[in-house]
Amino acid sequence: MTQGIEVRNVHKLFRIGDAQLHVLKSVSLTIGAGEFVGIMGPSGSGKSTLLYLIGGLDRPTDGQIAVGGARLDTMSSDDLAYFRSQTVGFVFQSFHLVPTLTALENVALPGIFAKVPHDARMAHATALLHKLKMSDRAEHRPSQLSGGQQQRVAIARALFNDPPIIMCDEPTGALDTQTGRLVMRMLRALCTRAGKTVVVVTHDPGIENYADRMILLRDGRVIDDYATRQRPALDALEESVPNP
Amino acid sequence: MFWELGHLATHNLMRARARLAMTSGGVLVGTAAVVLLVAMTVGLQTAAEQGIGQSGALTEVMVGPSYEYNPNSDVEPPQLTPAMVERLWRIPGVSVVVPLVNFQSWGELLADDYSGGGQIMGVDARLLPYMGIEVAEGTLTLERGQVLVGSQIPINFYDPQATEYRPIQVDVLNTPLEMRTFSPRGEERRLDLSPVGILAPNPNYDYAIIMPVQQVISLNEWLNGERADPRDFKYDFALIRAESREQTTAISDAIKEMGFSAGGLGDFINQLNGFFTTMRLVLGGVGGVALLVAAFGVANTMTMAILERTREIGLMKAVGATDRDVLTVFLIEAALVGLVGGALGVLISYLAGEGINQGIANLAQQAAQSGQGSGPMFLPVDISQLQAGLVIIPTELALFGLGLATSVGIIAGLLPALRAARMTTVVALKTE
Repeated sequence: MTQGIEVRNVHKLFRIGDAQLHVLKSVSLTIGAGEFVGIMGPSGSGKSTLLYLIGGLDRPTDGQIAVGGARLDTMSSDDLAYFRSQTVGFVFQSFHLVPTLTALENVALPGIFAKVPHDARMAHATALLHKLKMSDRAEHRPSQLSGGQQQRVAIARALFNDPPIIMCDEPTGALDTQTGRLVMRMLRALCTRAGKTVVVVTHDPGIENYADRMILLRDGRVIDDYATRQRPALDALEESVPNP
Repeated sequence: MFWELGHLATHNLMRARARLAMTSGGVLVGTAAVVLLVAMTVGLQTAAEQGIGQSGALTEVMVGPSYEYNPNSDVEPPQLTPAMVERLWRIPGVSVVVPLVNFQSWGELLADDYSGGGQIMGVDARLLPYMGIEVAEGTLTLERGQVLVGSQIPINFYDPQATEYRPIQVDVLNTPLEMRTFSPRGEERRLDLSPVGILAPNPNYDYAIIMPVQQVISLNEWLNGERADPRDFKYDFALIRAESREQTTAISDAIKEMGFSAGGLGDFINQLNGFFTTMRLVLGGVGGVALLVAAFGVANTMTMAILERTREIGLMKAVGATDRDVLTVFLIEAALVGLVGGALGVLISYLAGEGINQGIANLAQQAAQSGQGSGPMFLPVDISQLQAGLVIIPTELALFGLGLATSVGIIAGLLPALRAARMTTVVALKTE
């Protein structure tokens, strides 16, 4: 079974006090392995919620979600943790680095829960930082890094367990245009060179330049789903892009 | 895995050192309170046991006729017949039974012109070594005509001619000694005695004149004017030596069950230990209150830490941490807060205990120099008996303190840690 993502009739309701918020309304879609998919939509359209559901960070209220054939909606909490450890890597808008750990330790963090021995963990994290041209920042703490550097550390962390799927929630939201572009190129390279499935939720229409396919959400429903006109060329990528 | 999580927890703790110091400080005070108060009961108990006397006395059980005998009852009170002594031997834990016979009258001692006296008791000479008595002078042997005298006897002679009573000391080992006694028939009997030993002070035998048992039996025959029938011969009391102090209570109980009275220092000490156990629980409980307050501090700190680090908890889960991993990280943190406080508390207890003992030693010295008695009144024991110190911290107590502090940390941290472990990943990640 490939690491395709299948979403069938998924609903998500949030209870806020007495009110119920119906965030996702019968969403169905399929994402093939190795695809680079951009998910766009206005605020409150449910795009982040959808990302978290297919990333195993939350459970649907109703409907089925399968990744690589494994049903996330019926998985135990521990199996879901293992799924997150082995199958997906997350990149967040606000980086979510642990402030007291060095860049290297942040990259190696998933290794602790994947039970990778200390030395192997550190060696692997060092190699990842090297590939992302961050070796000279390995011992810096997040507060000593620029936004772009922090996001590169976060990407390295997402890659630590070599997951087949990378999920990004507004990965360029906190970055300037220039740095944002670099991050997008890196994600594109992960898809093209390493064959990773990449799912990016964003407000940035520029995503169309990198994604193979766009899914548009509004009010909790898929309103459009189309292939981008032109698949981005790899030669536009910079040297700083990792080659896992 | 555990060590990796522990390392993470240590890292987390070190980021808020001031808070760690204050929270652990609470545990420190609580642990020190528990350890010091309990250590004080250990010190008092040790002093009390030392004060009670030599270890030989602690394994003794004295058996006599029951004081609860009801003369209207049809049931005959049991007697210490030779057969009954046999039964006493067979009680589990009994090492030796020393049956004794009292002379049923008073023996007056005459030495030169002075008069003295004592309670004559007879014992089988072969059992002397098991009576828990020692001689201060002379030898611990007994043959016909020989006696051992209690420590008070040689110093309590008096001059019968004097108008005023004044105790006089007689060198009984080197002075011809005669015993005089009278029968109910008015007959006088005199007996030459040759003391071979003076006993070391022992409250049970300070006024005793110990003779071979056969001689006491024949004295009693003379007193009663009839020969003793070996078939209903009975001893007056018996001294039982237990194999260990812990067994004395069970032996006493077994003997009381048989209808005799029984008791001894060991029995008393066991009761005393019961008292000290209660005291330990009460004082430990007082210290425990301080530790309880500290527990709320730990719970508060952990709750705060978890609120502050909600996003991190979300992140840990996003990169593959299970609920159990998160729980473990926070429980280790809470346990470390307890352990650090506990270790410092035990250390402070040792230092404070040393100080208190030193202070007491100084007080005792001052009291001794000024010639005054027992020193300060706030202590329930004679200060001079506290040679080992008022505060005694056995290793077990120190380890108990450490374990208790760590447990308090874990228990106090349990609810916050569970809360962290159960957080929904998305909600935790999105918390600002």
